[in-house]
Amino acid sequence: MIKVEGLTKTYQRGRETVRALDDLTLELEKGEFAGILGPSGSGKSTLMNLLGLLDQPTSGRILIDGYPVSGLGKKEVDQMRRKTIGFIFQQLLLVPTMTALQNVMLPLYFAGTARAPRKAAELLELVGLSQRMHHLPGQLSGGEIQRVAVARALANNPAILLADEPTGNLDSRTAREVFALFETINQAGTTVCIVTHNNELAASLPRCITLKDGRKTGDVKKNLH
Amino acid sequence: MNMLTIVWDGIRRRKIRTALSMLGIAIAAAALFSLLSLRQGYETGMKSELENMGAQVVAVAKGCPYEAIAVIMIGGQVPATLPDTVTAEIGGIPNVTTASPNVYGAFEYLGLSHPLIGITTEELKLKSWWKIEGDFPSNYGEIMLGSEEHAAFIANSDEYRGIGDTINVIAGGKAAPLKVVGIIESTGSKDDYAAFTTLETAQRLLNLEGRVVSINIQVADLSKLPETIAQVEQLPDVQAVTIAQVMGTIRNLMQTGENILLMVMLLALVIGGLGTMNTMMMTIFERTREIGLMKAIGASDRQIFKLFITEGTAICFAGSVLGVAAGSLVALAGDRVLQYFVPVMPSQPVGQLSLDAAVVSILLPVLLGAAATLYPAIRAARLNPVDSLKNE
Repeated sequence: MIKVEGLTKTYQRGRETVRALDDLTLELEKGEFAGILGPSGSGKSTLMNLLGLLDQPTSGRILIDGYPVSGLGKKEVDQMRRKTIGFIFQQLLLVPTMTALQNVMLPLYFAGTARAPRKAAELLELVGLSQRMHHLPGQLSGGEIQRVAVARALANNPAILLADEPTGNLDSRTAREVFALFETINQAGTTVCIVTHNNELAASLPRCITLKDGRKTGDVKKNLH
Repeated sequence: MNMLTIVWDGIRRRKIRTALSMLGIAIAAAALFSLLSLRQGYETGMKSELENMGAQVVAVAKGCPYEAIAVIMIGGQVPATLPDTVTAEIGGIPNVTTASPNVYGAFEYLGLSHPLIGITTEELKLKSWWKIEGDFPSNYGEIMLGSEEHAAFIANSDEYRGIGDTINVIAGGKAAPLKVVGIIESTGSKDDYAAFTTLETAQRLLNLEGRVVSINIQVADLSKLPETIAQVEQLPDVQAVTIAQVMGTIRNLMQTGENILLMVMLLALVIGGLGTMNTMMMTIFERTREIGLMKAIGASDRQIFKLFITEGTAICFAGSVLGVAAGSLVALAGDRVLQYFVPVMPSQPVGQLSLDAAVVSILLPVLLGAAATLYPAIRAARLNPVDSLKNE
């Protein structure tokens, strides 16, 4: 599904060159549910941004379904991001002046999908928000906002769902609820990759990849079934 | 959901700022629209005014041509006159079919000054459209009134009831009784606001015995007009002005002022455009995170570009439509506005709404708005999603 080969990303911070990712190689199978763990500054978010095709690696390459992404033009990358990848952020990021329904419709609009309102309503129902569709983000709780974000990430039926600390801003009960939602989505066949600091949740993940200083320090697959 | 939903969502979030940049564009568009409309109305009015003279050439005494035009257009008092023998000499030129002598002046009546024009029956050949009720003045002291003069005298004078009544006026500093023998039906020209009398009456009342102010000339063959003019100008002290020249001179006089006004308006438009650019730059700075988010959930550079260029153009479009609406009021009140700026006004109202002017006044700000939004929209499209999402 996703293959990462010798991925390196460096930033320039003043005169200092920061190696956010250092020659990282890993592979995610189709239908996997993997967690990426590690202290802050270990390169987790950088990895997510690269996997989400939001950023370009300094060297190394990413293959999605065997195709190297780095060789694609901007248009194809946009297309790939739209069709293949759903992204969820730590910050509770919705357009504040649009209703839950409109927020979920945004990616459908950008992808040029017909019947967007119906599809968006179905997704909100899936995340348990069919009663709150026409509410503005300001009228929703943190957990509800993150569920809208999940619905939005699923809008174009992505093969991979990437979530960068999706429970970081939520209380533990709400975090568990959102996490359960990811499990449901994964069981439906979507590959899910989440960054988390939450050890309790991490413990229940089938696979945990640990990063430190931009390198992989651990990759544990558990057979939970 | 379509693009306009997203654009509208952006616009309504900052109503005051949007309204202000719209206002900037609206003011410029209103000024542009009213100027263009009035210019068109004025030109049409002046053209029909000159056509209503019925003559192709006017002979006047040598002097300042602008003064001659002023005489022709508003019937002012002129020091330079021609001996009335010139009329016969011009009438003798082969290509000339009509030579109608005019004496222009004014009389006072009911506390106001009224144009008095001395003519002969030759004038009737030039003004074939005149419909006269009663008689054409043929004896000393007889006058014929334009329809508006007739109406004004009926309304304000005790001694005047209609044809046959005598009005006691002051002309050339002396009291003079004038008998109304005819009324010209409305022509929609200056003639409606004047009184016509015999040449002799006008000459004596205005102390211009043996003199004429102008001779209106009609020719048989227009292609020989230059030769005819040359022949007219061979007469001592005579210069000939064609109606086309008069129109050209008026146009030139207007043009200079107009050009300055147009420059000011274009400047106002450019300033309005810069206002829009500023608004759009602010918007993009404020919404950097949102743009990053949109890109992360699948928006292409092109889609982001389109969103913002549409927003900027929409602001300018709305502004210019508002401006044209406001400018319409100015254009319709045209005569009242224009009379403060130009000395010669056509008698028909110049206030009119011009479709051409509306198209120009909307299209120009919209194009300008699109141009002004180009840079902000390109910046938005090029924003890096990762950096934008970090933006607080």
